[in-house]
Amino acid sequence: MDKRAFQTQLPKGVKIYLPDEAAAKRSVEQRLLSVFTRWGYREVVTPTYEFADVLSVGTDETLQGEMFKLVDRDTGRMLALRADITPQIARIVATRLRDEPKPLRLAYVANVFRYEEPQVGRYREFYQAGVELVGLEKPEADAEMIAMTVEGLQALGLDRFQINVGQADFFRGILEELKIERAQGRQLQDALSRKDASTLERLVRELAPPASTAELLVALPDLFGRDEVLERGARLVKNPRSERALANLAEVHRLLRAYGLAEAVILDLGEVRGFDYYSGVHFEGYVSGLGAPLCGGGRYDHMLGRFGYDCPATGFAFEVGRALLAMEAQGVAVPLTGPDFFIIDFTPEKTMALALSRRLRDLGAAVARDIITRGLPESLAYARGQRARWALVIGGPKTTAEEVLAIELATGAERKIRASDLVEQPAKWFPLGGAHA
Amino acid sequence: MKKLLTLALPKGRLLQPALDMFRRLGLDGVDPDSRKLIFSDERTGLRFLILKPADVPTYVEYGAADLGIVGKDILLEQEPDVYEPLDLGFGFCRLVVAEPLALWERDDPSKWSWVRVATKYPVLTERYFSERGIQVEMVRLDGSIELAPLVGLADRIVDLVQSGETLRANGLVEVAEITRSTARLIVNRASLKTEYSPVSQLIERLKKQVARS
Repeated sequence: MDKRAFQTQLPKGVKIYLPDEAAAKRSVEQRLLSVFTRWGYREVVTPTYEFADVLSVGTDETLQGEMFKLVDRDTGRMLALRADITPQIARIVATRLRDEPKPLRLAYVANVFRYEEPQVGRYREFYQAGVELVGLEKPEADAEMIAMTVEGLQALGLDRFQINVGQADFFRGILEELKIERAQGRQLQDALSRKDASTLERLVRELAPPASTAELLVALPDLFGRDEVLERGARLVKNPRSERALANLAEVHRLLRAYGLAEAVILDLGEVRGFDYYSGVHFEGYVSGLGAPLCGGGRYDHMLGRFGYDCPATGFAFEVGRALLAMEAQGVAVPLTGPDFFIIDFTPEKTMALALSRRLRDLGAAVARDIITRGLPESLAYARGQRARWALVIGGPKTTAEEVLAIELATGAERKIRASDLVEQPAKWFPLGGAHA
Repeated sequence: MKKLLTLALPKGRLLQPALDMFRRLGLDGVDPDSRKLIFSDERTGLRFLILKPADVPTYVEYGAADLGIVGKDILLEQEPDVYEPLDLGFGFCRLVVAEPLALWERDDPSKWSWVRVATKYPVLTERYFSERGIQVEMVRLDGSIELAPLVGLADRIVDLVQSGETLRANGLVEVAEITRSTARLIVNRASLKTEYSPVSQLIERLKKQVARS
């Protein structure tokens, strides 16, 4: 067939997960969700699209510009596909869950949509697995986020990772101290986000702040590393807001040490990415072998207020696509499984195949059947391709009408079993009950 | 074996000064004249990729290289998501608007409302003119930009100049400076954190080199 005769193009930015890829993706999502569950988080499901102006309330300007938009035929209002789950959950908490006892521990696994150039392991539609912890302002909540992130990374089988931790209020305190215009603050933030020391020095010369502030500003790109950063920062900082931020970060770091995670953490006082979004401790997770962060999150105490309910909150999310790339880079294989049994019945009636598969499925086994008529070697090759564990051959050349030939596909080991025995007591012959899973 | 740090170096005018800098750190065995595009130096723990300058940010942003050296002009044009902790000081040049002498003699840049410009810096060019309320039609070229006005492809060009010799040789005059550029060290965002000690040590050593020169 001439493929060109059919319309089969996909638009830019979407991705198909074929069965093996889908199994790996599902495995990542399940491992993360199971970590979230073990920490007492409960899943919520949010709508795929909402009114654009409502979503925009909790979304920063850049991301607003990246939302996929469409028109609601009922009202004529603009709709947007969700670009981020957090504002949706903030709104849900502010409206539907505000009277629930706090803290709320909520989890989600969902696809989000952003009009941006495809990046490392990220398309315009991509998948996130994350949590939100609502109603706690204590450093223990921030530490819980980071500890869970580390547990998530470990659940994925990853090692050689670092969590880069910043505190958004530290830089905010410095900006307040400078009393400069928004555009100038933007330039400082921009240079700092790239750790561009030479541009930062030029901007500081132009602003000519008091000597102590200037010293702190030009030191910022280098204020990252282990806990000695806290002391270096404390020596340089002169304004109360930044001092509070530093004390808060120190407390979170102390808790992380108690979790035994000091080695997994790098503190970065000059980290201003996500600055407009976060209000306190925020972090990103990096693994050796992947050039981009695969998870991140932080405190966003002001977002729920924008939906009419003042309440502190923090959260984080993993990017499933990047997690898959990181696992590939670190050689972590996702076990791919097929059905437990593959039944090949050469008799015209197929009575045995139907009875046996019904019985095995009732006992929890996964059973597939070869409905196509072909030779035994071809059927077995197909069964191996499907990663089946055992083939059960009925009415084949090697057995009598009362027998079933069981073949362990990995080894080729064969044994003959009386058909009636097998239907009556399959567990006598095969380890059933999730043995294959 | 210890993991080598991978460094992306740009072919062309920045390569020699970049290699000189690493030679002062004890590197040898990289021969810029050979056709090899990848060199390893076990002693300094570095591996070098020799790339087209415009490709350096891509390698570093995606983490195929941990670090890279590239002109600020290219960083401004591409805006890659990388750290750029160090101005290496060498490779100074300027991005300018230039036009043929004959046009320059009767031209008044303050009256520009629409221009046609040949360049390989479309982002910077667009931004420069649109910030001044001037509409710009861009002719995107990849080299020998100076030729465009001579054959009527565009009225003006936006290009890098070092001494200005190439402009003069082609009968062009600088009308405005858009930005200045020197070589920068760039670092992959993940590498700075996951390879924290070797990367920060290397940055420190390069910083000392730059301070000395």
